Amino acid sequence: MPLLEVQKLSVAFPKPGGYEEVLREVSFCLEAGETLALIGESGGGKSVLIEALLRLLPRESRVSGRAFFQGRDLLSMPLREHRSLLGQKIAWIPQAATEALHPLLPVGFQLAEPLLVRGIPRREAYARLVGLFRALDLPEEALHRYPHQLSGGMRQRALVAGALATGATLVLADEPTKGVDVLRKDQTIALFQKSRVLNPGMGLLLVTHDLPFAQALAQKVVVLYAGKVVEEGKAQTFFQGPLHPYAQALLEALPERGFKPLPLGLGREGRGGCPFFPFCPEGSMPCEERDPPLFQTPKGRVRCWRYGDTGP
Amino acid sequence: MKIAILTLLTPSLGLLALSFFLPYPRASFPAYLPPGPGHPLGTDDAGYDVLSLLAHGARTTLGVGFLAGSLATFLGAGIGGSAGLWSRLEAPLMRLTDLFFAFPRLPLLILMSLYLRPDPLNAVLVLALFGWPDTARTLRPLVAGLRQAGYVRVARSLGAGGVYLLTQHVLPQAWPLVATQWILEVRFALIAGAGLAFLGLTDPTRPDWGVMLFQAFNRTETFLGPYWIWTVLPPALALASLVLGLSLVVLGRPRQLDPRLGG
Amino acid sequence: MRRVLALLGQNLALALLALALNFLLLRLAPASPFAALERDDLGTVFTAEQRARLEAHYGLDRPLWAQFLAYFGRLFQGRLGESLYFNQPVTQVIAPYLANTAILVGLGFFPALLVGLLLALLSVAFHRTPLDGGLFTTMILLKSLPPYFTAMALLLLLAVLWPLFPTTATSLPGMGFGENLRRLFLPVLAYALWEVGTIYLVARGALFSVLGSPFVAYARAKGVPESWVYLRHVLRAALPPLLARITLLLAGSLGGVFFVERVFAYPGLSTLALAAVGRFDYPLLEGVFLVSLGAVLFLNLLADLLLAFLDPRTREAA
Repeated sequence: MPLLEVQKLSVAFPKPGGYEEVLREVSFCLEAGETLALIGESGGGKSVLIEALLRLLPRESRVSGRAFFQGRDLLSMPLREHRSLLGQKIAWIPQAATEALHPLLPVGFQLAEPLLVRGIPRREAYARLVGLFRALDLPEEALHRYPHQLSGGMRQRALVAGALATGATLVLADEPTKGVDVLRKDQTIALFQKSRVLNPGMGLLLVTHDLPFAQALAQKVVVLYAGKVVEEGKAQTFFQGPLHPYAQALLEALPERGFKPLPLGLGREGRGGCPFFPFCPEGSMPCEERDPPLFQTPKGRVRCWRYGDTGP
Repeated sequence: MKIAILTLLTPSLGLLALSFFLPYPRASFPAYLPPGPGHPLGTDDAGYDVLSLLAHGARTTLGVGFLAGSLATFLGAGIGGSAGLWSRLEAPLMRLTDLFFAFPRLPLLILMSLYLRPDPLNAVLVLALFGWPDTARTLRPLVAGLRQAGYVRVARSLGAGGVYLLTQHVLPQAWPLVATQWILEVRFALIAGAGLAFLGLTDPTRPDWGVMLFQAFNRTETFLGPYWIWTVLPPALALASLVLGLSLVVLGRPRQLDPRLGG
Repeated sequence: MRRVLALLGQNLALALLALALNFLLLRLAPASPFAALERDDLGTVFTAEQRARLEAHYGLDRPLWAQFLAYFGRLFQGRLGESLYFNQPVTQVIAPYLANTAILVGLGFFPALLVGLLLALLSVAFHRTPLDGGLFTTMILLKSLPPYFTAMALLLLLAVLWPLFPTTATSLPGMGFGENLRRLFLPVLAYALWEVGTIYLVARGALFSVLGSPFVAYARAKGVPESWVYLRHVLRAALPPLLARITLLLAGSLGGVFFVERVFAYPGLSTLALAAVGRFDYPLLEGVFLVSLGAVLFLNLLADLLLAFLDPRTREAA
């Protein structure tokens, strides 16, 4: 059984004049022990996906679909049951480290909180954190400091440590390398790898723009564009040569391959046809009119007319 | 709702009207007469007819309240509006507003009661001085927002001057808010004015609802017998109904008014 | 430390302004204000000796700048003069009444604070339920009634119509502790009821604004139980600005205390103020003015200090 199986997850937010769809029938699987990188541009709904899984979305949003965690649907289970999973079996590394931390409580306490709430004695909780801090090159005394006394990068790393300290089976990491410099990034990679060894069943859902980081850790890659999955495949083959034009553009924008301007924006909304069409260097007939389905290829699945029959 | 408002406001207006028909109260009757023939509301501790006190008191209480409230609104709108309209004036004017707002009121009242003759005009001035910062603070953001509004900028680019803008553009838009503020200021002035009288800081010889309460509470016998029923209740209820009525009027107005929460 | 000094400075400025006003008002009058006193319509008669004493005390015969210096010198020494009516130093006269007012405020404010906070927490936790709506409406009503209304209503209900409590709060020597408490109960309750409305509303607003913060979501995502989220995270974050604001409220509510005192004939500062006004006891009234000014400004300063103390960010921002 996959650790996390997301089926047709859709999220829409109310907007004057209707709803804005941010995620459209997103589906993927994450196996135990696997790292899945969720790639896409900012604002593309990646954080929303995590928030949906955590049931932290505002009350007015419309969520449909299912997300099975170890066989149980996170989205429809009773709230109390869901809450008991959080901080124990499921851990979150939020994106905006500055705002995620309570300004008036010491950092150490906040990170230890999920452990303390479960009755784990203070000393042990802090000991775990100290070990992780060391691995991330964070001074032990940072535990006793307040968030505003740490730099942005330090806060981000602290959050990583906090999530790993819980020993959770599923870690949802939202841009864990944001604001973190290269040296520390390597340490973060090392730490995640080590965690996989120490906690063999741990599944890591990695939401990131940071493609080298993703490449170093992921076994599977899912690309989101305009709220839909446009490519899915094994990481190794993906990074050697992605299939979808958008993914190709992403990779080409990397400094190593020479900068190419990346088309921003979510593409055409509600006009039928592939949302990437306006920016696609290879757009042709069917692309303008009909949104392609996901086609299965030997290298993975792609949502692009170039890889499948247009059909009748 | 409207019925409630009308019911609440009628007594005060009725009493005001009555004051023109009843003789000015004089201490010519026996004290503490219960309500009965000749004295529908009885007499107070000094032998004044309560009903005529109430009616003539309406003139003072309502007069001071409305005058002070209107003055406060005028001042506040003027200062707040100017601060919103002319950005160079904004900082100093708002600093001034904050100063008046933060100034400890009670000590100042005590001081003023010592040096100013306790006549209604002084009361009006003092109350207005305490009341205007509220309106100024509420109005400024609105006016400042209007200044940025599209049609205002267009008018300015066509050469419209300050006064023209004020009268043709700002005033029509700000008017509903000013009206609401006016009601609130009057309400505040009424409460504060009656409060001042109740504390004994105004002229006790002028009939006034607050003064009536002051006199009643100054006498130990007020609560030892049934006297409070006609010496305390009439002015208290008159004031309460008026204040409540005004509150309802404000509540009933559409949402220009940000809920007066948070102190 | 520098921050504390800066705050002190600000409050000092306001204090000086008020004091200067006090100084000026007396001396800017065209003639000696005491000239009118010999023949006033309330029947108070000043002897020539008393008038001479007053004028000497205020030094009205000396040049203005000398008076100014003397005034502030006098103040800093704590010499507030002698009450004309009581023939005692003003400070001595004021002390017991001040203590009474302080007791009333203290006994009334802290329960109001606790209850207001608690109810606000409940309201926020049970937002969108009838509990919140009901509490909210009740509190708005409570707050919009002037303090003397609430006090009078309580008086009528609990002391007159249904004589559970005495109608006046004066305490006579020889009364036991229990009896004194009984007398205190209604005034304290009246004051507390009035304050709790405002505290509730302010607290509710502050808690709501904190509720949307990201760290609340993060706390929930860590599996922290809901009650903990409210008590440890939401309340903690809202507390610094809230307490500061509430302290300011306290400063502003001194006026309300006076009303409550009057309704129940409670022997506090208001009684003294009234007596002084009625008897044209200038030194005494000036003393009451200074004391209430001092209290208000002290509370203002306390509010600023509280904020700095509770929020580690402001501590370093200086």
